[in-house]
Amino acid sequence: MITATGVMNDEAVYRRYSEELTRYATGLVGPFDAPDVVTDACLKAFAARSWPGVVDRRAYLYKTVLTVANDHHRRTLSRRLREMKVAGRDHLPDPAASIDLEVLDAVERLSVQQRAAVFLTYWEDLTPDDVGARMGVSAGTVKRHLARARKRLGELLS
Amino acid sequence: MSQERKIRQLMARLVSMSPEPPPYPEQTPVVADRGQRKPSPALVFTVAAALVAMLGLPMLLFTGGEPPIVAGSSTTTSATLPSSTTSQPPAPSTTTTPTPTTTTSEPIDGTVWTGVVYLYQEPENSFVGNPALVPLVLEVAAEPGTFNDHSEFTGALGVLADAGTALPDGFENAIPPDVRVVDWALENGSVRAEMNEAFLDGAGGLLADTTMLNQLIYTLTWMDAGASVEFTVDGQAVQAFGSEGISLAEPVDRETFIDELSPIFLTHPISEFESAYTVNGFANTFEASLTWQVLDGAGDVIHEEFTTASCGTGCWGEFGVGVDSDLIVPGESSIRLLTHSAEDGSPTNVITVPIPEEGRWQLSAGT
Repeated sequence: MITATGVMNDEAVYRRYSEELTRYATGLVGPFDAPDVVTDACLKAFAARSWPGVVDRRAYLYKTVLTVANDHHRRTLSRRLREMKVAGRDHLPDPAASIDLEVLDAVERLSVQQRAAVFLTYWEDLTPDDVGARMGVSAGTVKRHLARARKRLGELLS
Repeated sequence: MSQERKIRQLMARLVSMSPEPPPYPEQTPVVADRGQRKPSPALVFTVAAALVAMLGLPMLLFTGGEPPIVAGSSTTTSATLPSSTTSQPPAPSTTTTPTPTTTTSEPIDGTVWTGVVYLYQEPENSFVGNPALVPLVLEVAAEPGTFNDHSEFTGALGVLADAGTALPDGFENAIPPDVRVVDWALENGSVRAEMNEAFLDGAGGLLADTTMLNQLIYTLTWMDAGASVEFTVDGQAVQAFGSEGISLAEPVDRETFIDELSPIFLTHPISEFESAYTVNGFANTFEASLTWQVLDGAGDVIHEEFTTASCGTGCWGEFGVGVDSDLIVPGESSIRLLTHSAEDGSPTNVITVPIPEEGRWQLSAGT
């Protein structure tokens, strides 16, 4: 869906990037809340006054997802995990059936920024400069997040 | 298998859990509810200061400087904040009214720095997820010349953030290792802190940024808890800070970002004073109530009491308890603070502070 000026409209942008944004959000807040984070982020981006002038919309959406994930709160995943362990997976709706608790326990140890740095580095294979551009921080900050993330994951990865 | 490969596998397993993308959101944009701001605790400070002045209560020096808590008492809401101090660890002292000072460090043979630094702890079972500040008396061994004048006082924060410096277990530092306090001065109730450029980048993310600011503000105002702080870089006042552009155009103080802290946090290092360990902090808890426990070396609760803060359920209040020294074995015991969930009574916002030997934590600065 391309407009007369050659710019994709919001719905086309959404359809193009929603899948990878959902994966990214899963890396930030876990699978339960990822769809809500993506929806909120897209609404926020599309409503922004600067949105029509944004050249790299993909990068903009990544930053917005990270911002919303921050607001969403890093402890939500911890709470979800607690609820899940108490209730048992049989009593939770999808995607609980496919939940890998060991992985979520590991991710829960990290801050949202650390999760973003790890996801973009090790899943998207981006350089620290590119990760920094996606996150809106310097490459040095990215390296710092990665170092701390590796330290926090140390026991699991040793 | 290499660590990198294991992380990649972890990410692959995480991505495999990714749900279907949500449908295209066509509704009117919704502004996310970021929660209600709690009332400012400014009144607490103001009324507290007025009470102290009117009643003529002695202000204890903090070399000193711990608020007057009665040994063995379980509750106090007395409003005594440290108005002056050196960076020496707390110890029983005089009741002389303190005089302002701008010198804080006490170099010992040029290789050891002792002072109070605010680190943070991530509370267990926190429903808001904010960090809890915990001030610790630290003794940092460093290369000769590292701490040779007062300007290095908060430079020690940078040393602590250095990857080579192991912090006490359970405590964290949001201040990135390349951030330095280049110089600072306290004059007329205001701290002016000259920072290096790395400060402007923040800590990466809104919560990390406010945590970093709270650590700096509380540490810089250790001598005068009511002081404001103005951050500068290259002599120019910092206007915006961190990736989220937090405004620092106006001077900030201990109240500015207090709502970004856990509902229970400490304002003073836990220290022994006249046969009791004093525990002082701020709380914003349901009906102002909180519980304190003493844990033995095995982590078992050997004593538990309730106390109340001077305000609660939406406002911040001070609390203070005196823990009988007979209950504490330095180097083994811990003091735990918590609230009980209004829903199911489970412990929430739990922070646990070990009691170090000789009242201070001994660390070695990294490279």
